[in-house]
Amino acid sequence: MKSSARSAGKTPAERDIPIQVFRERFVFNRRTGAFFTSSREGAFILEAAWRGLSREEIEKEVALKFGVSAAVAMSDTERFLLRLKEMHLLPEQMRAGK
Amino acid sequence: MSGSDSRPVIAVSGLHRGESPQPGGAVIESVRAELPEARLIGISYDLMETGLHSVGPDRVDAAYLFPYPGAGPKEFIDRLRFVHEQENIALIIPTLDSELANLIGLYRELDEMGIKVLVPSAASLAGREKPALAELGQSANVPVPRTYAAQSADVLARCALEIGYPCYVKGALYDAKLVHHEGELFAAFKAIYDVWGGPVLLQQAVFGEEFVVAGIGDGKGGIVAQCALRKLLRTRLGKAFGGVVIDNPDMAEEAARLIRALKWEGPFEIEFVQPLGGKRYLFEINPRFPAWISFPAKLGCNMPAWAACKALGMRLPELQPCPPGKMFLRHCEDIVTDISAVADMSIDLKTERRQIDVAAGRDGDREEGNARHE
Repeated sequence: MKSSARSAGKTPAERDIPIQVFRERFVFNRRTGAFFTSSREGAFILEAAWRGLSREEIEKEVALKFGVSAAVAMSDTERFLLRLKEMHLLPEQMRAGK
Repeated sequence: MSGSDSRPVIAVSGLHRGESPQPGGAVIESVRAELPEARLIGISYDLMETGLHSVGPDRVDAAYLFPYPGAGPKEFIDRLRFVHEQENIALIIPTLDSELANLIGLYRELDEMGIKVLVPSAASLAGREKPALAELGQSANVPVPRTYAAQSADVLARCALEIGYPCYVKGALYDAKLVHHEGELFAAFKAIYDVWGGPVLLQQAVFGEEFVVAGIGDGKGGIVAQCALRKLLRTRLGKAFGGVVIDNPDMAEEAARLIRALKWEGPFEIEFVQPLGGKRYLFEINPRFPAWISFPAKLGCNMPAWAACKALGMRLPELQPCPPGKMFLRHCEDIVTDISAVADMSIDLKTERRQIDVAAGRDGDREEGNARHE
């Protein structure tokens, strides 16, 4: 099993996050043992949330990464974050809406 | 050390690896991986224990039939004295909960015979029994499902009204039945009481993800090594048939508080259950290695071998942390053996490892005139 290229060359802070993404779509939470397959966008947003990025920062990264408009990035990010929150997959501070 | 210094004799129980697998095979496999020179003998309670017939790395070099633990310590020690005369046992690694009371009571006698045994103290053992779990949870600040103990079904039924259905009816040591209404509760109480006696426990049912932590306590409140898993595959009896290593600092801290509170010495398995989005509950603490203990051993965290070497005063193997994401999946296979092996064990109350010539319907050693049976 191979980790995504994004997992390589992480900073110490990034290495502390429990989310590991394989081939950009398969998400494994090393803390809970939960794993699932997601869209690339969903996995990207989840990992960004665990890296501690704010919603606005995630929207910018989504727009840049997937080449979509700011409005699409905003809408997709909101939708994914809501879904991830329902599934109890977000970090504590984001679950609390901070 | 008993046996010879170069070839310690280690006795292990719990050899059955069926639907409800016992840990003995995994312990034997792990110890053998580190101490290939050790002679590993089985303490067996049933002719049909699958480990008696294995020729794989979990095989026994010999095995002896013992009276069931319920027969009491005298029956056990009488049989053990005979086996010790044959084998010069250095260490016993029990893997069945039902054996521990006998072995703890015989600790001094075993010591005089030169036999070490991996058992916790009587106080530690009692501190994690099901009726005491709530108190332990409170002292270690770990949530425990609400539990009541009673000697009568009427009392248990009144407790169930407070807890709500469904809930679990459990024996103090073994057996658990999920009940959905009073009729099922009475039936479950009778089934458990008739086999195991009282008290019978009633426990709040908590459903969710199941997590397990296996480790070794140092007897002073610390943990020597541990491996934490999320169960991925479960049998209908709730046994782990697959798991993935996790690195959960909160759960590790909870495990550390429980072991500290118990001053646990030796092998343990802590079971947790966590509803989605809810808090994690302590489900139970098993006073022994789990049946999946050969998995962390294969990751460089060989806890059975470490415990054996520690007990025998041998050089301790290094224990590596288990990397999160490593998985085990249990894969069952059929062992081919011969009815003559069962016959021999039945008559001799002992078996020696040998290759069974299945096609010929007899064992190879006899063919060569090398029968090693008594």
